[in-house]
Amino acid sequence: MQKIDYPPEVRALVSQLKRLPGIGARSAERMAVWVLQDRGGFAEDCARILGEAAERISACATCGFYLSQGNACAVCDASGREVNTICVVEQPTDVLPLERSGAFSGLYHVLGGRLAPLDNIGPEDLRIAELDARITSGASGETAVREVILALSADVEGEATANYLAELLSPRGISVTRLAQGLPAGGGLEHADALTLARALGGRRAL
Amino acid sequence: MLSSLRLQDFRCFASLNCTIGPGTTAFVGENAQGKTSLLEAACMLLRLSSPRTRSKAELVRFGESRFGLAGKFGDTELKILGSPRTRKLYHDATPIEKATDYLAESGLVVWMGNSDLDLVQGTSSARRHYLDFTAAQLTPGYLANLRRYESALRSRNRLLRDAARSSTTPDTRTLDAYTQILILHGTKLIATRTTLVETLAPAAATAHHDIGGTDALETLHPTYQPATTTSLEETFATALPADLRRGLTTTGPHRDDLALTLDARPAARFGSEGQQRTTALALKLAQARLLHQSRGTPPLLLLDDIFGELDPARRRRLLQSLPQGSQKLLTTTHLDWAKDSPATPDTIYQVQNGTIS
Ligand SMILES: [Zn+2]
Repeated sequence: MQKIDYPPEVRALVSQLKRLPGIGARSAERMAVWVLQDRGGFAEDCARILGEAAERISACATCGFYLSQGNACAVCDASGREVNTICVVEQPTDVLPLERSGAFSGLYHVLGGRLAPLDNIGPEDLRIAELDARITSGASGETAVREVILALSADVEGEATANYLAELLSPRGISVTRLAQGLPAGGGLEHADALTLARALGGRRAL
Repeated sequence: MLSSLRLQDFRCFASLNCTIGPGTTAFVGENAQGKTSLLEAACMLLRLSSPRTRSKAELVRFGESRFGLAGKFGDTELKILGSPRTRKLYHDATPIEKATDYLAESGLVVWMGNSDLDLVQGTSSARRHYLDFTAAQLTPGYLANLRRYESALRSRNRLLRDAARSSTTPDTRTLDAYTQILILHGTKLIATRTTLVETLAPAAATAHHDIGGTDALETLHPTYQPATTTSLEETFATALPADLRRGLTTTGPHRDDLALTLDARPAARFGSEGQQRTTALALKLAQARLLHQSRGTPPLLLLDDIFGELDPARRRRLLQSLPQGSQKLLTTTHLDWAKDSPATPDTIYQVQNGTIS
């Protein structure tokens, strides 16, 4: 007896959706069903928006935040920021929660991940050289940066990344601090509420 | 006290629901029918740890994608939903984020089984696991420390291994970042293990005499043997050339041991198997008494098929020595031994082929 399966287009859709983080086989199927039944033009809009985003969004060469082609970086272009403090985060999505906390008014630097030897992610895969360059931007290597705040995940990889950056930056006379404990492990900052983040920023401690 | 136990797609059990009495509950059946998995389920539910495996994938019933465990402990309904990669914890249907918070509401557990002989005959990892399982129940935060140490160790070993294989040197600053984590958490592990063995040693010596009776003329001395006696900072610095050469972290608390001697002789190279069994049981009995002392209530005892292996006198002495009033779950192939024993089961389940009656 011949085995019944979905047409190739449906199979391709399901297997593509399954590649999204946190999406298993069943969720991918449920999403595919929804997409195929939708009559509101979701598939066409989504295809266009995905294409445009992938084509036009890159990382800001300075801070690593999302940069839209032909526009200024929303983070670097913001006025009235304190330039002697840089807050280092793992992902662009960590910036807005910190902004919402209202407790930070300095500059941001997005690493693009954290050290993870088991996933073959080393310092050269992160925007560490860019951070280094930002701090030593003056002609004679002088810097306006006085403090680097590490807002990294609370798990072991986040801890290792913090240790790495502390060892890199402390000898330059920069105060390196880390957010107080209590932030979610591994999940980034997007799950932390504004009050928790404000408290974590206030309670930051030197490494 | 554990008053109920429910399993869903756990090991060989599709679905199971049983009430647990306050005294002794016996699961009776032939070998390979799933008896031990029931005790494992209770251990997992209360301590989030299985004495048989560290892989959650092994716990999921064949062909399924996740397992569920639940049970009433005291007034709290504990629940775990696990898959090979994830684990969700609940108290009374409220999700609990941190294992530490989950464990704080849970009970203490002692597991006794035939593999306990590994404590005497096996490698140091069996004895380390024994120390860790005890310390995790006595010292809040110990388990979190241990898991962070282990996680940093895996990463550090990967850095060393990859470098050794490609005949390069790992990036010093990245390696240091992980070494610092090993120092931070490893130092705490050593401190806790040191104080633990200080209280454990006299308890184990007493337990050994209690179980062995007149057969145990020698005195059991468990001694903590840390892999290194210098500060961890110095240890890792000194070991670095060897670590680089061999492509792994050659020393540290992950190599600690618990030395067991009877009078002055190593327990592993001394005595009959019966005497070695007494030594292993003594360690577990000491664990039970320590947990009883610290919490004020006796731990749940999970006794996996141990009574068939013991002669009547030793069995009687062991049963009399267990903490008074402790709740017991046990597995056995037959109940002949229980006729005139202090642990006569008040609830008996027959286990056959993944079902109970
Ligand atoms: Zn920017």
